[in-house]
Formats: sequence, structure tokens, C-alpha cells
Amino acid sequence: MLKVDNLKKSFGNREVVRGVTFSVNKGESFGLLGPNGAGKSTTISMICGLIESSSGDVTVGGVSINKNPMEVKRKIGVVPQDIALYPTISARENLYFWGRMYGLSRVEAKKRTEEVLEIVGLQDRAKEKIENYSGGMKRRINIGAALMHKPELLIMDEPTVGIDPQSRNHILETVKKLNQEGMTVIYTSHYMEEVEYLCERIAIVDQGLVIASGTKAELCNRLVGATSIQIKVNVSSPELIDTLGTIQNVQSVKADGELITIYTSDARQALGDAVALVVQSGLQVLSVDVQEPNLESVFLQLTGRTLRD
Amino acid sequence: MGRIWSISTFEIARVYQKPSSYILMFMMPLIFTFLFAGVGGNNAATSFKIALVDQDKTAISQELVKKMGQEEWLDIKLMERSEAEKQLSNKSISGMITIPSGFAGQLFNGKKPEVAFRHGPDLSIAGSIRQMIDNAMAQESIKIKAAYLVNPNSTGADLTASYQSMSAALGTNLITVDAKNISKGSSLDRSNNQSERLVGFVILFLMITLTIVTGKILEARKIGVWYRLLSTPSSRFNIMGGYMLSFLIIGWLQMAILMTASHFIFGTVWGNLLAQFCLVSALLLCAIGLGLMVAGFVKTAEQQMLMGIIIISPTCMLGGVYWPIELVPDFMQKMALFVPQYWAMEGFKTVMTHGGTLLDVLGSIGILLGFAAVFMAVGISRVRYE
Repeated sequence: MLKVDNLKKSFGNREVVRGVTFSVNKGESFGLLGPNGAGKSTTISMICGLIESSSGDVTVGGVSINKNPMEVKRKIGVVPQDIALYPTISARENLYFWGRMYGLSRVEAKKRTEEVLEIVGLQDRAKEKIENYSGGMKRRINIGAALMHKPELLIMDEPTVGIDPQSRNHILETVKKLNQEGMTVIYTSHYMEEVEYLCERIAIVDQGLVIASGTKAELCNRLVGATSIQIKVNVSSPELIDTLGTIQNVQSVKADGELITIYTSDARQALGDAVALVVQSGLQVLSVDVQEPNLESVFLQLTGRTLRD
Repeated sequence: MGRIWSISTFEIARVYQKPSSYILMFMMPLIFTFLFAGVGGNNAATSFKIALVDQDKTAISQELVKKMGQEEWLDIKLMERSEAEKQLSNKSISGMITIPSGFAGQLFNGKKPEVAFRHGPDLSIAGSIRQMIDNAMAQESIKIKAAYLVNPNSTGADLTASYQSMSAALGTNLITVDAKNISKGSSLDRSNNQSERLVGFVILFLMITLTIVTGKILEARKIGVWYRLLSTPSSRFNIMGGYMLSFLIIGWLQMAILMTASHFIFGTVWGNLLAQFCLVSALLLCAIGLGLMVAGFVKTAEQQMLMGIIIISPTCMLGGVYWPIELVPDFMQKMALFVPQYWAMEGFKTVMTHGGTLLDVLGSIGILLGFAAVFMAVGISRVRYE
């Protein structure tokens, strides 16, 4: 469906996208995960033909954005990061206008407006001006505008920034449903949980490059010692730290006062051995917490930074 | 074309959605005209009292006095210089015309004598009176030339006699015929000071309106819809075409409504409609171009509006929008040639006051289109599509 081939973009001397390559299959939900400033939005803008790439190419359904941008734009719907609606007119009027801009006839645009209002769950507020909407409702219409022409590929650039949890859930559910109905989705975010929930495959972007990609399981499997076991004991003991380091499949052990963190690739075995060693050393176990690897830890290991840094 | 029309109708609807648009576009020009150009319709000009001082007291000067006294739109009183000056300083009269001694002699010698016209700064029809004086002098000059032709070797008293017999023979016919061609006085029946001020305010508010509406592009950038527009399968031509068409229609609607309203409220006669259509279209393109050019150098619609008003207000002053251009010093009249409002005013005056047709205003239209081309070239080149 989408092929992004060695895409680069420079603004002056600053290269913000440094050769991004990935592909998305038809009907797939693909996530672009990365911190703010990683180059996600610039990449999205180049895919949509909003800014010209310095080099590289994008093809959507086999059509090159460089050669036939209008044909590509007919295939995609873009949900910008910021609300891109006319605030002083109603949601219905906004949707109708964007339908017309996507080439729908008057009748088609009218019909589709009602369908999209139903999809985003705002039929009962359709007459109200956008400026009177809550942040979450604006976000929903912002998505709705991109759905007017039933795009083959829906590109969403951080669509849940700054909204309440209820609206976020509604949006995530809507996107999930659209994807299940066959729409190909590219979802960019720096919210790891959203990408994990929605996307089958993920590309992690940092400093203008895709530094890793694959399914969540594939990405997490790349980590050695990604599972962490946190044991809180009653008294700190440097000797115990050394002993815990000898357990099989434990990569490293760190201590912060009474809190001991064990990194391992086999949490089940390491947990039992670790608790036994603590008890044998005469200390008391106050609490135990096991953390499975996630995209945050993948990103942390790959870059040394967190997604929200 | 569908997208151009969609953008255009959408933007027009958004403009007329705001009640403030109606105030700015239609009410303000009419109210300003009402307040600053009087409400007496075409008869308003008859109340202007002008003193006439004849220091020459020759047959020719008396002929001039007689002719000026026949002007229906002026209340001309013959009086001594001291009395006229006193009344002018008291503001009992609006102005004083002085025919200097030696006036006839200079005319006989083929020179152009100076007839002084003093008036207060608020006399809005000063330009028309000056024109009337020039026309009357031109007619007398023609009679003198005719007297020479009839009696080539005559001088002094003979020439005066020949002139008098020429005047008597021609009676008022010469005046009547020539007055229809060149006199501003007679055509003031159709378009007086009020019309001129109305046109001025229409130009002013038309330019302000179009400066504000061309800010729609900046507004679109600010609220993010420009980004979304560019992500749709709409070409740059479609997008800009849609906006441009909306600006033109908004301008034309404003103009058409003001023309109709002023016709019924003030009795304004707008003259040849084809000439008006072409002139107004050229003015609209010029104003849109100016708005786009300003938009190219600022970041927000608010900055654009402020910058637009900063440019429009003084250039309107310079271009004779607020008061007759004849009132300002020569160097300012020369500077006025470089502002579009001057050419628009000239065009409107030609059509409305002198009954001009399209051919008569082609020069003004050409210059306005020249301004429009420059402004638009700069403005459109600075529209950012990324």
C-alpha cells in the first residue's frame, strides 16, 4: 500500500529526516513511534505531498507522490496534529466543505457528512459551531474530515494530543474499528500505549531515522534482559547484590537503597531464585514487582532516552 | 472549477456570516457620506455663498461677472475687496473670487491672467469653482480670438468694441454650447460634491474590506485549514482561484449594493454602467493585489489588517479620496499620480461628472491594472504552499 524509500528532508543546513525507509501493507495498522522532534511529522508531511522531500520517494498504491501528487492525495486522508477546521461554522458545514474539497459531489458530500458524523459519534451536536466544542470533540471532527472521501490510507499525526481520557478512548476505538473494516492506518504518536494498542507493526523513529521496526514482540525480543524484577527489602546489603548477579539469565542488578532491580531474560526462573537468596541472607522481602518489556524500554535501550525526554 | 466555486462560495458565506461585515461594507460608507458630504442631494451646492471682486471693471471683466452670476449652483455676490475679505474672515461667505485690474489687457495680449480664488479649507467644492472660473475665462479668451479674426488689425478700443459686438452677436449661445462640453457647473446637476465624497468613501471602505478578506489566507494558515487544503487533491490553482474569486465577488457585491443604495438614498447617478463595471473591476483587482502583497510580508491576519490600514489611509488622503485633489499643493498632486486611489477617483469623476464612457476611462483602468499586476505578482509569489 505504502512504500517510503530513503526519504530525506533538510531545512537549510539542518537535516531533519535522514533517510527514512519503511513499508505498510494494505489493511495494516502501522505505528510511527518517537519523541517530539524525531521527524515523524515531517515524514508524514512528505508522504502527503505537503512538503517536498530533498530526496527519496513515496509511493501509495504504486503511485509516486513525486510524479502524481494529486492521485496520491485522492487515496489518503490526513489528520493533522493541530485542529484544522473552521471554528466559526458548524461541524456539519465543516465536513461538507472538506468533502467537496476531496472531490465529492454535493449529494455525495451531504450523504457522507451524515455517515461521518455517526462514525465520530457527534450527530446530536452537528449543528454547533466548532469553537463551542470541547477539545475531544474537535479532535473527533478533525478525524472525520479526513474520512469524508473514504481514503484507502488514513494518516494520523498525533491525533490525541491534549484531550481527556474519554475522548482519547473514543478516538482509539474509532481508529481500531476503521482498521478492522479494512482501512490502512498510519498512526504517529509519542504515546507508547496508543501505538501498542492500535498498531500491528511499529517503526521507532529518532533523530530523523527509523532505528528499529517490526511487531511489538519482535521489537521487545531484540532486548536482552528487558524484563525487570524489583524487590524491596528491609535493609540494604551490597553483598546480596553480588550474589543475585550470579543467578542464571540475570544480565545485571542495580540497587537504590532498599530497592533492588534485577534485569533478566527469564523472569520466571530468576524471580524464584532471587527471592530464595534474599530469604537465605536473612533479609525480609517487603514487595516484588515484575515489569515486562515494552516499547518504552526498547526505545530507552536503543537511544538511552525516554520517549517523553 | 467545482473546487474553485466551492472555496469561493464557502469563503463568501463565512464573510457574510459576521454582522460586522455588513457594518463595514455597507453602513460605514453610507454613514460617512451622509455625515461628511451633507444630505441635501444635488441641491446642496446652491447654498455656497461666494463673493466676486471686480478690480478690473472692464467690459470683459463685467462679462465674466455676469456669466459667473448665472451659475445656479452658486450664490455669487459682487462686492468690494475689503468687504469680501471681512466676510470671508467671518465665514459669512465660503470664498471670494478676485478679478485683478489689468485682467482684460492681459487677455487681449494673449496672456492668461490670474483670477484669485480664496476659500476656507473646508470648502469641498473648491475644485469645481476653480474649474468654473477656468472655463469662463477660456470662453472669454475664445471670444477675443474670434474678435481678432473678424477684425485682424484692431487694437485697444476698437478691439473692445469688436469683442462687445461679438459677445452681443453670440449672446449666450456660445456659453451654452461650450458649457455643455467643458463646464463642470452644468454637470454638477448630475454629480456634485456629495457624489465625489461618496465615491471616495466607497473606495476607502472597499480597500479596507478587501484588505481584511485577503487576510483569509493568513487566517487559513493560522487555524491549520491551509495545511488540510493542501493535503486534499486540490491544485494550487484551484485553491488560489477559489480565494481570488471570493475576493472579487465580495468586492463586487459590496460595490453593487453601495451603488444601488446610494442611488436611492442620495440620488447618485453612477453614469455609464459598462465603464463603471470595468473601472470597478480594475479597482478590485488592484485592492486585492494590495491585500495579497501585504499578506506576503506579515504573519497574521491582524498584522495584515493593521498594515493595510496604515498603507490605505495616507494613500487615500494623497489620492483625493477625502477631499478634492485640487486643494492640496502641487507637489502632493504630483505624488498622487503614484497611488491607485487617484486613478480610481479620476475614473469615477470622468464617468459620473462628465458623463464619460469606457473609452474615456481606459487610461485610468490601464493604470489601475498596472498597479494590480505589480501588487499581485509580489503577493502571489510570496504565498507559501509548504
